[in-house]
Amino acid sequence: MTTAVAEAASEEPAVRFARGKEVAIVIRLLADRSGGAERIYIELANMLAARGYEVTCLHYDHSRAKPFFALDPRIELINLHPDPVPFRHRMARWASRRSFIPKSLREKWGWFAANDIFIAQLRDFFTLRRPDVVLTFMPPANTPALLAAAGTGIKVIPTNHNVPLEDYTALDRWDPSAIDRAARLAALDHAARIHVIFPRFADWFPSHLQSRMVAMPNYVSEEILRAAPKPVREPRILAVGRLAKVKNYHTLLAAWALIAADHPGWKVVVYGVGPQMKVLKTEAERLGVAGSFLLEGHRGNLGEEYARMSIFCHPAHFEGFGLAAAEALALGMPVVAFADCPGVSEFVVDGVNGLMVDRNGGAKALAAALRRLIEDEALRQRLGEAGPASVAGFTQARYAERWIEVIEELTVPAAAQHADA
Amino acid sequence: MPTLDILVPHYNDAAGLELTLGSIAAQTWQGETRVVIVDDGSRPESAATARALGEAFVHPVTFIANERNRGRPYTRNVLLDSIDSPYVAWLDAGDEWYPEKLAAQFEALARMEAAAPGEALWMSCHYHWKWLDQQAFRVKRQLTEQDQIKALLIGTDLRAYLWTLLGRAETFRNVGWFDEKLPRLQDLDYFLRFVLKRGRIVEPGHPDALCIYHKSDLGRSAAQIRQCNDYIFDRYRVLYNRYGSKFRRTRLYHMEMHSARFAANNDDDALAREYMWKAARARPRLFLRHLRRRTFRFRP
Repeated sequence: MTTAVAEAASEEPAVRFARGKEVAIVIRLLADRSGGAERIYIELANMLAARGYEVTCLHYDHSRAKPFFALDPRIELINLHPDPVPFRHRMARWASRRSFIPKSLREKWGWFAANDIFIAQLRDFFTLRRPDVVLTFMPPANTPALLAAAGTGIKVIPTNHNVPLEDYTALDRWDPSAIDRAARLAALDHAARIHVIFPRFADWFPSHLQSRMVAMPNYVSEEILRAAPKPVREPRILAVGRLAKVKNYHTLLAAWALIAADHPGWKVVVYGVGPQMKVLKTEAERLGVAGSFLLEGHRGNLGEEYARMSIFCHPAHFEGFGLAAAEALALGMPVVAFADCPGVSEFVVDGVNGLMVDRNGGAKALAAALRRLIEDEALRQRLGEAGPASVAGFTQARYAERWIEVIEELTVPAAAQHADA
Repeated sequence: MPTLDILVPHYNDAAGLELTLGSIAAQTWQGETRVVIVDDGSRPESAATARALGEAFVHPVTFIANERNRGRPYTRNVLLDSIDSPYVAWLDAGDEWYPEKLAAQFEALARMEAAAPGEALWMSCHYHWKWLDQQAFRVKRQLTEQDQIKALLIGTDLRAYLWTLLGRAETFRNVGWFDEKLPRLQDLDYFLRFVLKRGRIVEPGHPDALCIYHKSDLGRSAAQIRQCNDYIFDRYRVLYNRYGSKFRRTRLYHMEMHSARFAANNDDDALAREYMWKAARARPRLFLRHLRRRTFRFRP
């Protein structure tokens, strides 16, 4: 029997058991989604929680499935989607899919069904919980969150993970309705800051928003960096990405068909899944390169692949942040891409760490660049060696620090801001 | 290092503390145990008795005294801050565990942790509910196989009672500090945060109650309860909204009736009528049903 007696500390409660600043992070769909944006969403939340912020992750999923990526157990996760959905919202959704209803009405009801409850829920959360800062991910969450925060004084930072032209004007991305596209841009007036990936992306936005832009590139994850580049690499051209139109793997296939016969020891290996899997396979068979153009599906740990293969090819039309290309550079691979691909051209420099190809040259130009690298080992070596330094700034630690700078700048008490002034 | 820290808040109830410590001493589970008692600024004679009870106890005791009365959530935070063992159980002074409680919970927790490694689990249990001034008691079951957020908001068959729990220390630390803005209902807030942080409340599958709650409304402010309910209602409004407007109105009705019960049990009939009027406005049919079934009685 031992009894230790101690006196409790005499600080004020608010000091002794103080809680961190509250940061809410909003995304529309999270349940069981394994995309790049969802990964960054979860990792950013985890980074902030690890640094003492009280983080709440908000999403709006009909599904009750858990997030695909692991969320820190200190973070609250709230699904704002109602269960059951109110009758009038169900009716609006039904009506928005009936072709006999005029398009303008369908768009209006569709937008109402998709956003009305989401906005109302976010507004309740903002006004009743008063988070210090709200970060939102991608247009389907940016617009509702900005509209919900309008007039509440809540500081919202929408994040943009793609080229602004694509996110704000393309008809085949996000909600194509005129209402949504107009609201997407107009809602930015309510933003405290507006995140873009590269400084150049900020130029696209209207002049009155320029003072609010913050640029933060994504990062190469530490898991990838754990792989050690092999001293002797295999004769493989690697491509990594979703098998979708925007990644433009048809051009890579056509380019490979032009040079495959001249380089029988080489192969193209593509990791990724997507809607074009079947059509790419058929096309490879038709071109007679099915044996050397390998569609390998999903691969978990890509670090080892970057470390052992020789050339990375990324023929995409556009990228927000060409993560796979950055990962390849970090592990010493020279990159071949089209010179006009935003999000890759920001850090791949022709003749320094890769070869940048004129898109007007199409498959022939891409084939020529690949051939040049295949045949010139010294060039491969030189470009590959320059890779790691060119992406050395894209670290998770730097990403977290930059976000904390922005959050702290926005949440400095007003009195302190006046004193500084 | 002990295996288990048992966290006991105490305030002016030395007789209750003695009952509580007796139930800890009677546990059939034989693992190494430390008891932490935090006295929340009790009257000097009550604090001295509590300290003496700790000194005479069969298990090691850490006795901490708040320099003045700081309220339940602050005291819970002092207890949370004192955790040193891998497992934690809570027991408020005045409540009791039955002898097999910890043994049943440890056995079930080990089984469930093996089945779901890495998952944050809080092992609750069924309990007896006994009004302090009555002999009769009822079994209250913790039904964990349901939407736990909704069940906690309803508070009928899954209740936020900390003294039913056994769990790993980090599962409590990860929830964070108790909210000091909640002099009442801080445990409900704490449970909701646990579930929102992907924690799961489980029960050992033991058919009987494993502890007893000695319930009393006396001396508790109905207005304070109502304010705390308001705070919870605002803080978790998006969760209430999620289940629809009828659910939200029904919860408001029950919040008013809950406060009316406290007012009635403290002989403030005017305040009780005020809360009942508000309840009737939120859900008139429910109120009429209440009148038909229970007239104005609030006790079983």
